[in-house]
Amino acid sequence: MGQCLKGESIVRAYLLTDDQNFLVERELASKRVSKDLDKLDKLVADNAEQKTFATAVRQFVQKRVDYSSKIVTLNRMNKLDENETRRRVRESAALTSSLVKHLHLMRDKENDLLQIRQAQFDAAIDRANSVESALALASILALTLAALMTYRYFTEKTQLDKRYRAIFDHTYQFIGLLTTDGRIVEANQTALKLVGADQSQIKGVKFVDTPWWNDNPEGKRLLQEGIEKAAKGEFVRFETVHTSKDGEVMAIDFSLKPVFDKNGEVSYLLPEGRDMTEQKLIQMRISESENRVQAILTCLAEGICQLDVDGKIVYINSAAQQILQYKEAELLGQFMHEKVHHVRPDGTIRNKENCPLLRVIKEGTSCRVSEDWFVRKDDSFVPVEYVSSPLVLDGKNNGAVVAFQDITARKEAENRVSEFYSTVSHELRTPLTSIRGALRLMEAGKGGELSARGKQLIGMGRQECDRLVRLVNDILDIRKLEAGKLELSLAKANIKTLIDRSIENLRPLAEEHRVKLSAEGILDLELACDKDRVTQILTNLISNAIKFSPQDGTVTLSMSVKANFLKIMVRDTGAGISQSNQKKLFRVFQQVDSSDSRPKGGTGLGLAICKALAEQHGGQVGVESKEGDGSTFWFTLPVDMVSMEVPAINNILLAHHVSEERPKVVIAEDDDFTRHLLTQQLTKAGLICISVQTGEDTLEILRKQEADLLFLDLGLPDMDGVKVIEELKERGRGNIPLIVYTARDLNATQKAGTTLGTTRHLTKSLATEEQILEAVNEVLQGRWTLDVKGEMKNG
Amino acid sequence: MEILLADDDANIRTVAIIGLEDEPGWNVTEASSGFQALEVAGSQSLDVIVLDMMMPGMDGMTTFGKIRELDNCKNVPIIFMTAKVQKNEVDGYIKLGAAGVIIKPFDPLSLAQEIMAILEKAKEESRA
Repeated sequence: MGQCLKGESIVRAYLLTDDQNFLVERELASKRVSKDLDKLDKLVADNAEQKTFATAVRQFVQKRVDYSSKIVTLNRMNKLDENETRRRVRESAALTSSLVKHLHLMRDKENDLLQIRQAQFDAAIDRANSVESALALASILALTLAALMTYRYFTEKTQLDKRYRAIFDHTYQFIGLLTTDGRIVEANQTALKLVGADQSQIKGVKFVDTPWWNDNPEGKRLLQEGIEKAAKGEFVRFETVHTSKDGEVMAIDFSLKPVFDKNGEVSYLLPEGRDMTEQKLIQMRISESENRVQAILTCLAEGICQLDVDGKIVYINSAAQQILQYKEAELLGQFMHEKVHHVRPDGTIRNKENCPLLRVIKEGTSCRVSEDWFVRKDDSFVPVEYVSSPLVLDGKNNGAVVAFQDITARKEAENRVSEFYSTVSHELRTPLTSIRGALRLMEAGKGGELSARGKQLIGMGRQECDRLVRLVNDILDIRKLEAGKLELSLAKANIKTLIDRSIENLRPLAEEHRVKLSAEGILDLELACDKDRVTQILTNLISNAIKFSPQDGTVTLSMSVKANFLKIMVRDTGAGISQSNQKKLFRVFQQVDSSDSRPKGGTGLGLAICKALAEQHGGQVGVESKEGDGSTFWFTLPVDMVSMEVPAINNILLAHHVSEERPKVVIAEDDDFTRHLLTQQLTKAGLICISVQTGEDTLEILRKQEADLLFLDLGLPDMDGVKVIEELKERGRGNIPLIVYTARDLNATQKAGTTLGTTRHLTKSLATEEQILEAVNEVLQGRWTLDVKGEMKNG
Repeated sequence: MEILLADDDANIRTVAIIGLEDEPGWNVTEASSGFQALEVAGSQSLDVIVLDMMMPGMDGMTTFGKIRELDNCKNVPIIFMTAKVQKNEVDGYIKLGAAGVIIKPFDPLSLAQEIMAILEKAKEESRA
């Protein structure tokens, strides 16, 4: 702005002298004006009102500059006479004063202008008001700018000071300022609050004597030393405590920092205290919990192993080392499966792909294996039970934790129990053989003619003997069922035959009780079951029904098939069973109280055994009854059960016998469960299944047999599936339709490398039965069409 | 029908013998131990041997092995008799070469029938 006025006076001088040099100066002044205006804009950018002023000033200045330009132009064209010149100069002056007025307003607004500047400003305005001292006006604008800038600087500085003060006072740290001889200059609010003092109380007091160091002689000594050192320019730091009036102890990280002046002399000391209580506590807790976990893991009798995502051991507790008889260093970093789990006691190699230890890592779900073997350092086997759980940290799969137990003792105990039962059974049965045998012979008259009374008594003895024999048998059954040791020997059986035979066997009992025994709607149905065990269930239910029926009552057998289950019902016309008693019925040694006092000869185990046997078959048992209205006991068996583990060779024989029109599939799979399931599903779908467990057998079978489909697991124990495929190609069997069934995640190249004829790849555990059958249909290419119901059409 | 019955329990032998005495043409020789059974087997021509599994001194299994070594007994059917197992557990014994298993307690009145059934089944199987 100053430049603008300068420009004006230059114009005026130019007008008066007509000297072209003035014009050059005017040009420079104009440029400065424009720059100053920009500066002004920036300065007031934060204030809307001042901004308006600045805009107004800019307009005035522009007008003023334009006006002087006009004058110059007119003069150049010699269009200015003297009068005109005067008028123009007067107008310029008016414009200038208008501008000054605005600048005034602006200055007033910034109310804290420094006095000196104010005086200078006013003087300059006075001078500027007289047209003659117009040049002086040039400085007004400069002054306004300077004033504004000074004002801004101080405001900012004060604000900054306030901010620093706030930080100083309210920081979490205890901060102060000491003289070099350790007297307090200042302390922050946090520090003051700690001891409940105010600034005036402690100012000038020796820091050592302040309440901050109460009851802390050791701290005082360290502080005294520290002050001396810090005064010499050293940085001092030590840990101490502060005890509050209430006796609460605070851990403090204390430091003393020398503050140097320009000459490098120590002018002040800066004491700083940090409350470490919480950190200390946290640290203590962390190390406490770490120690505790460590102690627990060490004390555990259970072996604990942590595996990384690759299945390598990253932690192993002492129990695990002891069980496996390895030292920690010998196991860390080793693959667990390869080191202790790769082989079974019978020498067969364990498939890594199906290893439950590793599957956990891949699938993220934990598993429990109640009986398995780990290999010890000396290659001996230790029986173990283990739980393997995925280790998830921060939502990321981090491997697995395997917790295992040496179950040698348990197995020994089991064997002892088993042996005990077997011995008891033997010891009971041996005398029973003689007693029962003798009674049977007596009954048959081998000991001479008996009186009617004698016959009755011998009969009683024999019946109770029978009951004892049943009890021994039932106890053995229950024991096996409870130990999970009862194995069904499944075979195809005709259910009608089993029912007819059971009824026939029990007819004498029914006649004895004068109960009518009948069957209705019995289907001629084949199903896979343990026929002795099913007969046992039938016998139990039917004989119960007979025994609990009144004279001239009826026991009726019937059956229904629903949702793949065969339901066999035994209805009696007895007294019925109350709801509360129905629940107890299937428990061990539970006989329902009844007013019916006839001897039943039961053992109290029959229904419990029926339940367990039906469940073992995959079925259920139950009862429907109303008091006074008879009871219906029922059990179910799955009709689609195909679970016979038929050796491969038998299957081949079988294949010859069955109609050649059905497609033949070779299932190569070493995992028992999977092979089983596949056989079941594919047999149901109408295929003839030949199952093998090794690559060698697969090749052997396919050498001898034509097959319509090969179902191949890639991870066979003796030979990799890829090798099997190569061998088949070499032997000219490269065209056999193939379904690769693997747990491996195959990429496109791998898939391309594992094909024969029409090939499909299925991922184990992902493929549903439907997908499996769909794949089978696809690779059989319409030669056969299968459906889930097992119906098959020759295409 | 020449039959050898080996069981250390005299009562059981008696019951079995009375059960079999009325069978026309059946002649039962008793043995109270494995050693005795072996002696009889070596000196007599037999049609069937019924052998108790649990005998003191030499148990049924050992006796079985020794009898099989005798020249005149290579093909004599041997039936095991035991109180230790149940009906559904006899497969193991049959695999070892027994013609069949009689489970105690047996019914002396139908013992002959049971023995005949076992022999017939074994014959059928050897034919197959």
